[in-house]
Amino acid sequence: MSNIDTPIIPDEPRKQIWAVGGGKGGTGKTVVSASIGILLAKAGNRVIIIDADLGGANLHTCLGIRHPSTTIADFLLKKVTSLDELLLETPIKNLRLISGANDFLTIANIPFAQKQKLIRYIRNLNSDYVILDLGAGTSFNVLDLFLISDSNILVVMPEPTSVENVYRFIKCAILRRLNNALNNSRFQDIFRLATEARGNESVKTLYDLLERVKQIDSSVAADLKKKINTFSPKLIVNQVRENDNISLGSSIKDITKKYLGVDLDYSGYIPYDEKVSESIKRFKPLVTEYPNCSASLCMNLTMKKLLNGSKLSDGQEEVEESRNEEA
Amino acid sequence: MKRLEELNYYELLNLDENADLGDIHQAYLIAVSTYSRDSLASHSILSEEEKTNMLKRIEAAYTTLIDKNKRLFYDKEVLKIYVDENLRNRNISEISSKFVQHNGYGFQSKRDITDESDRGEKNTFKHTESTIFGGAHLKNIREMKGITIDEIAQKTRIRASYLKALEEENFEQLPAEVFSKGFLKAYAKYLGLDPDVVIRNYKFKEG
Repeated sequence: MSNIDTPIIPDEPRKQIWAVGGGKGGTGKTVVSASIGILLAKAGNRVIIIDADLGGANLHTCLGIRHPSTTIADFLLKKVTSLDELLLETPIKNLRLISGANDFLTIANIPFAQKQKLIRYIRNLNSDYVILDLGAGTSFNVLDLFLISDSNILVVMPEPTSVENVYRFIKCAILRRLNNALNNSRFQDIFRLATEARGNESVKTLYDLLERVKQIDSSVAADLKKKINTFSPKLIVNQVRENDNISLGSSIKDITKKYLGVDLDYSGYIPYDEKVSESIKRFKPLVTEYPNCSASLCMNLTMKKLLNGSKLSDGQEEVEESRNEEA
Repeated sequence: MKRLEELNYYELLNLDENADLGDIHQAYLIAVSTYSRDSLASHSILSEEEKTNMLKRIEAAYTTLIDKNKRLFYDKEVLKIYVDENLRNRNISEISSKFVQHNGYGFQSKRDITDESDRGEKNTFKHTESTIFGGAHLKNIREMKGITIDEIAQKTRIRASYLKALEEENFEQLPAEVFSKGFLKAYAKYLGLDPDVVIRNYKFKEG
């Protein structure tokens, strides 16, 4: 990263980092990540897919690799000096994997400096797309990897626990995004109130938070507002079993906008399909093993929507661009 | 970003100001299901009180927007906007007979709502599909695979107009359900979909 003025004609399109998260485990993040990676690679893009589910990695299995020879742990333990050395070929052309298969148990809690180093190396990977398959929960490690991405994808399934976690995830992510942007202790109390808010406290919504910040410094509040407006995660409803579940995406979008102040993009739904677990049991990727099953077809449709959105908006932390409202 | 209390009727229902009756009705159904007591989407994030309040406001917004005179008054006097009436009157005769008599009260749970509308291309809700394998969705899949209606018609010997009617869920153009189901089965099979899954999820009229 340099501070030199950006050239008028960019050399080539910038690499896109896409992160797949959503809070709860078992919603299908890994299958969705693998499918996205494969579909992008099949369309002729160079893709690197990273299993960032540190401590619970199994992306390699979804890609048909039983025993990855190198994993991200080798990088964190300094057995290798760059992420390039970890790249594993997959059965799919143009798609390479950095496995997260864990061989030491504390890997999920990597310290700050290591995380910063990991993020720097991810940004420097040479590829058209980098897909990050994130772990469950809302730890800072998960949130920060989510937030460095150009496209923030959330996977939710039609169950109360998953819905609950996705709201928590969105709330934690936006607060983290604002906190990262702010980096100023003057406002820490307000952020603490916002993070802890459970009921009718004074800082319940982002709107309240902005108001409080505005009382201290209105230009800071304006900056934060911009950060909120440029944050537009994409929602995928997975494992849809009933017709009712389809409108769940629209409903979550509505509530998130009204009550959390974040404008989601509902990118699509994927029906529950036995073929998903069958493909996993056979150690074969879903979208290549059963390209015509309903889950694969819907994955394709969702992919089209994700691609439409990603060309128009850019959510990477340092970059500010106006968001395309209803593309 | 606006404070919840400041949202106007259009914003409340995620509509634009040119929304026609079909748009309004569809937005209303989604809104009611979003804030109904047993709604999955509001789980953990909204209290009973918040849901009740929101439903009251949704009801007020709907009854105003669905009534031509009340809506004009609201636009003019409250929002101070002027909207070209012609933009709103598309399909009006078609839709009004179906929806307007419905006063909307009495929805307690999602199950009380049967969504029959699938129109409104300029609807601000991008997901107008309401069934997993509804006509709109099947059409998307067909187009994604680069298959034309004529091609399916030729191979399956089913009239193209029937196939089109299946995609548009235009049941008046279709023969009796038992025949239409056969068409749908052949159509689904041709697309490579599991015909039984499609049949189970496609909603034939009153089905």
